[in-house]
Amino acid sequence: MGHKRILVPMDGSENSMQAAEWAINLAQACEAELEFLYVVNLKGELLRPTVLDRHTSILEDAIDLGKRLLDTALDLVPISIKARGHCVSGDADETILKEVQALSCDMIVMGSRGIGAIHAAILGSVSGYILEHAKCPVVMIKAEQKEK
Amino acid sequence: MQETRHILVPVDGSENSDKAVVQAVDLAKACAAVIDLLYVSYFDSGTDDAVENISWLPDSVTGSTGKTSKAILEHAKTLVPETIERHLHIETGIPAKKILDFAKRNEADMIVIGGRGLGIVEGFLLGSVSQQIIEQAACPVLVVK
Repeated sequence: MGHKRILVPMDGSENSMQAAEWAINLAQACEAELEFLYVVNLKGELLRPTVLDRHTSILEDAIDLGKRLLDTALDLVPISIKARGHCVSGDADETILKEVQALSCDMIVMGSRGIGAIHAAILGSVSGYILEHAKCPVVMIKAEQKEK
Repeated sequence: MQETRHILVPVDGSENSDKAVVQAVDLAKACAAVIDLLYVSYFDSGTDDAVENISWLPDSVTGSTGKTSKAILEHAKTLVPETIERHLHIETGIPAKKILDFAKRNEADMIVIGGRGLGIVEGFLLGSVSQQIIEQAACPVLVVK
């Protein structure tokens, strides 16, 4: 029954940290395994001309940041649960879909930015793309909102 | 963070909404949660004809609201084993709004909903319910296709 392996894409946002915590809870309940994923995407960074001459160190920085993020998430996981961290480079949306398959995950838990459909269509929201294209169930987590 | 105790499953009788119920059952078993099945119809059963009239219009248009709502909920209920506590609810109004209101009022820890598998643009133009739920719900939303 239930889910054997849950993919948790992380991007360092508050939403993705909450998604990680939520996924850990679910993994405990379902006795599932966790795969945390950080996608390094330097496209945006490299478009800035000033950084071109030192892009190798930027790549290293990005990988470093990703690994630290993954460690933060892995530190929250109780010993009883199997969990791994993956730092992969590429386009966030395509890489996430690829890794779901590669790691044979049967569920994705991720943070959503909670932006409207029009914004998402224009800005190309990663969560929107995943929702649309993933073959498995997707859980969208938003950081707890303050009461208005 | 809080545990998942109340799972809300809005149903509409579609194949994906059945899948959502099955998914919710899995989660409810694992988390020992209660399932709330909710059907939202645009019209109140008060608008139903006293007598069933035969019409050339499809049943989805002229069929009695009360009967349809009940049938959809009863069907969803059959997908939930008796070992799981489940409740049936009918609301009248705009589906997305009513679902969000219900989730808030009943402190749902999670919403499990079937996605129609429409793209963002189509979804937006067609007013996808799941899209609105994802954007506006305060709790985690699981979309099943």
